[in-house]
Order: sequence, then structure tokens, then C-alpha cells
Amino acid sequence: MNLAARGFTLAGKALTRLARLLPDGRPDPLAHRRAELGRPTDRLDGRAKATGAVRYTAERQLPGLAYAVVVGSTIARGRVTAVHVPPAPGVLLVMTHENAPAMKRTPAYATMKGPLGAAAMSLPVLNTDEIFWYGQPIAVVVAESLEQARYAASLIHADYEPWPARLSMADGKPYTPAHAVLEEPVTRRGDVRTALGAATATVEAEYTTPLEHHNAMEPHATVAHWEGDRLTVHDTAQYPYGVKEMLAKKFSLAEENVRVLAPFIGGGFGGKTPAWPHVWLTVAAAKLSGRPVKLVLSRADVFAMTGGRAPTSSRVALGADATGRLTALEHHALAPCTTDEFAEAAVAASRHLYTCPNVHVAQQVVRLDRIQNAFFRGPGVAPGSFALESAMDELAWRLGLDPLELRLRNEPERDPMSGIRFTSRHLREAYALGAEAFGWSRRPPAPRATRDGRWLIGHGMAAAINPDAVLIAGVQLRLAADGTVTIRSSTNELGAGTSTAQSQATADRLGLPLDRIRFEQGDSDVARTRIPGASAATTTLASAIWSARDNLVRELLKLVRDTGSPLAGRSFEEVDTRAGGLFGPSGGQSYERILARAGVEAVEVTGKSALPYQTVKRGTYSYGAHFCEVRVDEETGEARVTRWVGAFDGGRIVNPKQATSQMRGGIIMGIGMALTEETLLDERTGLIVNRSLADYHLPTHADVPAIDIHFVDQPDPQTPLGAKGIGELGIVGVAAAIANAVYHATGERVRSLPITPDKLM
Amino acid sequence: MNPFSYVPATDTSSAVALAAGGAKYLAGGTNLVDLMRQGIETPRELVDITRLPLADIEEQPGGGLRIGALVRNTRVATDERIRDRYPVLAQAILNGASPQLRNRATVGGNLMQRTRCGYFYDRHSACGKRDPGAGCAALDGFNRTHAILGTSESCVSVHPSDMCVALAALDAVVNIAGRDPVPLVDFHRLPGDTPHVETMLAPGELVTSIDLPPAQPGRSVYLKVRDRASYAFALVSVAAVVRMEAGRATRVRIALGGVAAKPWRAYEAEELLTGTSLDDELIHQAAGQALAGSRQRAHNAHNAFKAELARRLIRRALQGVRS
Repeated sequence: MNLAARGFTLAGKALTRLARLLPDGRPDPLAHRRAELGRPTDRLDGRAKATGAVRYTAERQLPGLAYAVVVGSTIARGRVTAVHVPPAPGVLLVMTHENAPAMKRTPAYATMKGPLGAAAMSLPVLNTDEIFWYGQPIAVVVAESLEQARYAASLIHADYEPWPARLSMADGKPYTPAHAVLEEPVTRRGDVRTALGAATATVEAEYTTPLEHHNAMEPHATVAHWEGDRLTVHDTAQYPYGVKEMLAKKFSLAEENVRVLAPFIGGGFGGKTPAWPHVWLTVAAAKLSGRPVKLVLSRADVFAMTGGRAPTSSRVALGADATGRLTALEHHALAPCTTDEFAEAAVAASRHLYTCPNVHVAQQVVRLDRIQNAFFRGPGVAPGSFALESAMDELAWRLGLDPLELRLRNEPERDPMSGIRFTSRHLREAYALGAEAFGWSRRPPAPRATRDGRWLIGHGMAAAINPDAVLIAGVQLRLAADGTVTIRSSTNELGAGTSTAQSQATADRLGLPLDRIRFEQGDSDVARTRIPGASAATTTLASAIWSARDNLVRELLKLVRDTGSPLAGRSFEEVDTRAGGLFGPSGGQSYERILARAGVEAVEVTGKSALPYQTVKRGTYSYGAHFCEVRVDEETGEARVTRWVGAFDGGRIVNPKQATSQMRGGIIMGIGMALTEETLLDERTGLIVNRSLADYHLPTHADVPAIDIHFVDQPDPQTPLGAKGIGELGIVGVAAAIANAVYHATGERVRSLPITPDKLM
Repeated sequence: MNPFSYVPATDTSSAVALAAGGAKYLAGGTNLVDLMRQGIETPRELVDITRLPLADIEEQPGGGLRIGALVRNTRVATDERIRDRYPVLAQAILNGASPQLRNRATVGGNLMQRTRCGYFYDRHSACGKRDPGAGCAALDGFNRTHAILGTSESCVSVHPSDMCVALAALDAVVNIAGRDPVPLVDFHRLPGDTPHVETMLAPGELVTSIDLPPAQPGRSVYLKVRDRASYAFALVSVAAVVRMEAGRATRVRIALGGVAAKPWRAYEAEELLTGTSLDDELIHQAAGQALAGSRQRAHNAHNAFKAELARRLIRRALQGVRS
């Protein structure tokens, strides 16, 4: 463990200990007092998106814009000895390691060595002749047109001095990394091996998940524009503020001279959380060419030049006594990483889902010559829960117990590993809601019991869990004389509905109707905001807006001081924001009136999210239960999902329509993970063979059944709005539910994803 | 994509004259343009043939149909005559690609489409189709979707078409400008030592239409197994066309997709079944016969499952059409 990593671990532990001594926070009144919140409001930007009015990064046009295309390496490890650049029309610049400007190395975001800034990796791409992965950028071509840039790029070829490359999991020695994503890599309690020996029923098996890519609809894109030493970058970043910090460091600029704009993103799923090298290479190319430069990665480049979800291999051992209580839980997971350690923490769910006296979970990594891994919706939890939740199903069959009943018997009262309390945990209610809607109790008890012509039919279930986080955000709030409010934030609209949800939250926070609120997003210069993903946007922004509202109240009280208003002389604690204005014990005034009487055009305040110690002090997770029906053609091995019910505890639901879509999206992504998705990386060379949407099989509409979503909708007393993050929750557990249904249908247990026809024939 | 010139052709003979200099024909462009974008096809000249008068489906004397090479796939699949008389062809087309691609792709282009092997699509991988004699990266690479019949050491790719499998079972004939028609089953070539030679067309020759012989009474079916429910190439597909008279099969046609570099007719299985009542045991035997020549590499056969899958699919198809 290096010093920096040790420092973060110690700081984190100290913070946790300190937080436990602090009192609980005040519950958010908006958990209960809701007018716009809780409504299934249509997304406010829906029309603009559907009619093409929203401009995405790749659509940005600037005067004098030039176009860039990246050339990737065709070896996985070694040195570039020469880059051959045949002449081609329209070329303004070919940037290679020989002429690229020096770019300072910045630490890799995901490793905890560099929690600030958003670089995906620390490697000095194009500032070295060394090659670290197949597809690493070796040249950037800038030309007058995109077609010219593409053609020139197609002519470029390189000579290499190839070195042996470690590409297969068997090529390296597994070791314990300094950090796994979210938590420490190893936790041990009690004596698992002895408990397994004494258990009535045991399961020991290995489960694997493949390399996967996010395949957001919008490919990664960057437009960089220099004016002197001021830099403006339009980017598809999920984390604009982090990109700003990173670029300032890389190009030795004052932070205030770097502005990153990313208002609308066409899906991210974690793949756009860190900035991949093309981002800073576009900036360098703009600097070197003296022109604004646009770079849009091709779909094939997205596979080669941005990371995916690391493949995982999990060995799980479970033991239970005759009553179905877990006595042993072991989960050893292995995933590849690069020089920058990013360990896909596949063991996370095994720490928090079930109560068990003897636990040993350990995350190990193998260092390979591949591109850095990425966050991917439910990082660690999604692949790891496939292992755990499949093993729980296997254990249920061994015990002769309903898999739902087994889970209920092991539902913990406190966070199993730490013993701390939960802020809220309504998984039992989610199980009940889902089971009822699905008709789980009518499930035939034996496998292979239901057939419809050539189809065998099975039912499966699995639990879902995802850590909830409130992170750091700042907002600007402007109340205008006409009573309208504009909120500005550095966070952006990934497509999940953040701007609509926050408009609803602002409306209720200020007691205004929704049509008086405007939410503007994606400008790094608004305020320091660290929401790279982690399902944290809703609660974090709501906290910042809550703080902005408090500051607004203080400003308004100053304005009414000498106006003879019934609010004059009132203290902050005596007044409330509701019914379109500020009200105290002896009456109030509308916002318009306050501003008019004071003769001001507008009031501007800022707000910062509160330190989220409540959720550090206690365990905060969102939960869910998946129930599904799968049909398997016994002869051809085709598996099709035909029915889905998901029930979730995401705290208080902010917008049921958007939340339902969010859960459906996660489940559909999970269906892909279960049945069709796999990035084929040729371990002889490092080449990704199926780098297109024709060959990388995302689920089509025909693969997706009707999906019925239910929410427990109970407020979490410790979180803003009483809400919990649900962006990633939907995918967690989906693959296991399908694998469990496949077993129920066929009697065949598939432990390696995806479950393709050849595995079931 | 390389720079190229573009010439629209107005009639067949001028198109052929233009192509004699090495130009490529452009019709729907759903495959050629993709390949140009990847730098796999690098024609200096494209001859746009979409204005040629080859876009009709016409009745033939004697009861057959002639499908012009430029008829869009969707139109073939939705044509009443095709649906009534050659339902297996409509089924096969609708099982392929996506609605958008079928709206754009032509019959001739479907016939001429090239393999989807990932190594063929990568300029830096060894591929004898792109670079004769270079070997085959798929032999020991990802070959789960690759061929098990008619393969060679220089190529294990498959022809991706669904339509052609049905056409093979229908005894379709390919018409070519300026030469004698060729039975569809002879149109595509197996790789041998020359995997870059994919059809019997000489450079510059133009497919003008496909003839369907008069429809035979009987039943037919197209079955396709793929990795997802839509928009995926066949792992294995089967077209079966059977005529039963007085309880006996007087005519049996079985064609397989996803198993070879061409639509694969199972002649020996057909022969075995002709004149029989298609009982289960014979069907079983015939399915085995159809795959008797299948080959996979011993140490790296991700596609080994295909032989058994094809046998099962043949049995299912025949059991479905015999009654």
C-alpha cells in the first residue's frame, strides 16, 4: 500500500469514527411535505431532446473548427519506434509522441491516489514511446474536415518493438490491492472454514463475468478551444468539475482559466466518469494546431480507448444450519487491473446483504497490459452479486427452502460487518411487494416442472443492494423580480432526469409551482461539485439547494428589514418558504413583492451540500428484489426473459415516472449482462474483436419483456428529500435472478455470463 | 475511407462497362459502405446502380417469379406473391438484420454481402480474404460463430445471409448480365486456398435478378437460432421445403445457414429422406448425415456446439413440415 493510499484509508476510518459521535441530522421536511415532489412529472427537457433542440457535445460548431481522429496502437506492450505519416489532403497536424506538448502526469481518479481531477489513468500517453495497451493513442490527426482526418489516419502506420504482454488472467500473480472500489479489499470475521465443516448445507462454486462495455448511445466527444491561456472544453464528461481540475494540472493553467461545459450527456453509466486520454489529447492538439478541435470517438475507438467493466471471477462458499441461517460466507474475487490499480470490488454485496457470524471476503487483482478499467453501473456490486445471489439460490435448493424464505431468514438488523445501524432498510417490504406482484408463492417448487411447447419455463429471484452516497455539490440560486428561480449547477443531465427532479425539489423547497423553476447544468465554473456518478446526484444536489434556500431566506430577511413588511424583524427560524413566498407567524409576502418593495432586480445566493456525516455514521444503502420468468428452448438453448417484477427501497421517490424508467433501464442493462453482452478481447494480441453494435449484443426491444416496477417509497430519515440513490440499483441482482430462473426452468446451473445458447444446449 | 469517384449508371450495359475498370457496384450500401469505412474495401470508383431497371418482381412464364437484383429486402418479404408461394423466403428475410437495414438492402447486395468475421473487419489481423495467403486469425481466435462445414486452414468464416439459405432450399437461380444463369447453390464458393474468391462472378460482372422456379405444393419453414431475439446473425439456421404425396416425401430440400462460407445444402440427407414417410428415426439419421462432414479444431473449437445445434434444428424443421 503506498503512502497516499494509506493516508486516505486512515482519514476515512478517522472520519467514520468521528461521525459516529455526532448527533443525527435533522430530517428533511420535504420527505413528507411534498407538492411537486412525488409527482410523475414528464421530464422537462423531453420535448427539446425529442425535437433535436438540445445540442450535444459532438454537435458543437465553432468558427474555424478542425477535426481530429485518433490512431491506436496495434500492439499491447512495447515501444513505438517510428510513426509513418504519408501525405494526405487537408491535414493541419499529426501529433505523435515526438511533437506532442508536455502534459503533466495526473493520478488516476478511480484509484484513490488522486481523488481530485478526473484522469482515467496516470499513463503519459503521447508523452512517451511506450505502449501499455492495444489501441493506445499513438497519433492524433487534425484536418480541415472529418473525412480528411479519417482518411489521413487510415494511412498512418507505425513500427514497434513489441515486448511480451500480459493479457490473460493467468498471466499474472494475484495480489491484494491497496484499495478496492468503495471499500477495503479484505474483511474477515470468525472462522469460515470451521463453520463450513459444521454446516448442514454448503455451496462452493466459482462464478465468472466477462469484460463488458457501457455502449452509451452517445460516443465520447471533446471540443477544445484556446484563447491565449484560457481554455474552454465541451465534453461528454459525467464529472465536468473533475475534468477542469485535471486539465488545469496537465497544462499548468490556473483553474479559473479552464472551463468545461457538459450540459447534456447521451448516457454515461460510469464510462464517462473519468476522462480518457482522448480528452487531454484533443486539448493538446488544439494548442499545437492553433485551431479549435473537435474529436468524436468512433464506436470502435470507444471500445479500444475507453475502459469497460473488468471481468471478474468469484469463488463463493456458503454454509447454513438446518433452519436456513447462514453460518459461513466466503467470497474471494479476482479481477484484472493495470499499473493504476482499479479493483472492481466484486465482494461488496457479500458484506452488506446477509447476517452471518463467519465471513471472509477478499478482493484480489492481477496486473495486466490492458486499458484501465472503468466504473460501470453498479461497479463491483453488479458482477459480485451475480456470484453471491446465484450461490444463495443454490443453497436454497440444497436446503429445500424457498429462495425468498432463505433471504428473509438472513435479513440483518444492523450492517453485518460493522454492526452499525442502517439509516433505513426496507428490503423486507420490497421482497413482499415484489413477491405479491409476481405471484411468487404460486411458483412450482421443482425445477423443470413447467413447459409450454418447446419452452421450459422457470421463475427466479435475487436481491439488489447498492451503497448510497451523498457527495459534494455547490449550486447558484437566482430569484428574479418576477418570482422565477434559476438554479445553476456543474452537474449535468446524463439522461436520467436530474434537471427535472431538481426542479421539483426546488419548487417544493421554495413553495413555488414547477413552471417558475429553471435548472441549468453542466458548467464547471458554477461551483466545485464532485458528483462523478455513484447514484448521488439527486440527494447531493437537493442538499445544496436546501442550503441555497436557507441563504436565500437570510437575504430576503435583510431586504424586508425596513419595509414595514409583516416579516420585518423576524429571525431565520421563525419564517418558512411556502405558498410562493416567505411567511412568518404574523403573515408573509410573495417573493415578487419582497423584491419589488426592496427595489431589487434579483437576489443571488449560493448553496453547498451538507457534510454527509449521517450516512457515514450509519449504513446507507438502497435495496431491491427482482422476480422474473425466463423461457428456455431446451433443444436450442435460447433463453428469453418473458416477465419481470422489480420492487425497490430507494427511500422517498422524487419522480415515480423517471424513477420507474431508471429502474427499467437498469434491468434491461442487466438482461444484457445476463444473456448477451461480452467484449471479446483476443488474449493473443489485445485486440477487441467485436467492437461494434452489430457484434456486441446489447438487448434489443425483442429481448425485453414488460417490466413492472414497484417502490416501497418510505423516507430515509437521514437523507435529503428522504431519498436514496437509485441510478445503479436496477442492474444489481438481475443476472442472478435470470440465472436462477434458468435453473428453475431447466435444472441447469450456469455460472459464467453471458448465458448464451451454447451453454444451455 | 479512401477517396473515390462516384458514377451513377443509367443502364446495365454502361454499368458493366464502367465496372470493367475495377469499380465496385453500389446499391443499398449497407455492407459496402461499412467495409469502406473500416478500410477493408478500398475501391477507387463506385458505380451507383440504383437507377437501373432491376427493381421489380415479375411473373415468369410457367409460374415462377423473377426478383430484380435491386428489389429491397423488405419488399421481397412483404410481396403477396412471395408470401403466398414462397413463405420460407419471406420468413428468412424477416429473420435477418433490422427493419432499417432491410428497407435499404437489396437482393443483389444480400447475395454479395461479405462475412462478418471480426478478424476480417480488422485490418491488422491475419486474414486470407483480405490478404491472400496471410492465414486466418480466427482459426485459433474467437471462432464461436464460425464455420463447421467446408472450412479450410485458410478460412473458417461463414456467409451471413438468411435470405440465401431460403433461396438455396428453393432451387433459385442467379441471373448475371452477359452470361448463363447460375444455380444459387453454385454461386458462392468455399474458401479452399483462395478465401478471397467468394463467388463465381468474374470482376465487374453484375447480378441482374434471381429466378424462383414455380412453387411446389408442400410445406416449408425457416428456423434460426441466434444470441439475441433480433438483429443478430444466425448461429445456425435451417430452411426446409418438403412436398408430401400420399404420406411420402416426394421432394425434400434442406439448407443450412451459419455453418459454412455458403448456404449449405444437405444433399445426402435430402436423398435419404426422399420417398420416405419422414419418420423420426429417419429424420434423426438424416440430421446426422447432414453434419457428418463437420469439422472443428480440436483445441480451440468455440463453435463445436454448432453441429449438434444444426442436427436438432434440422429435426425440428422436418418434424414441423412433414404433417
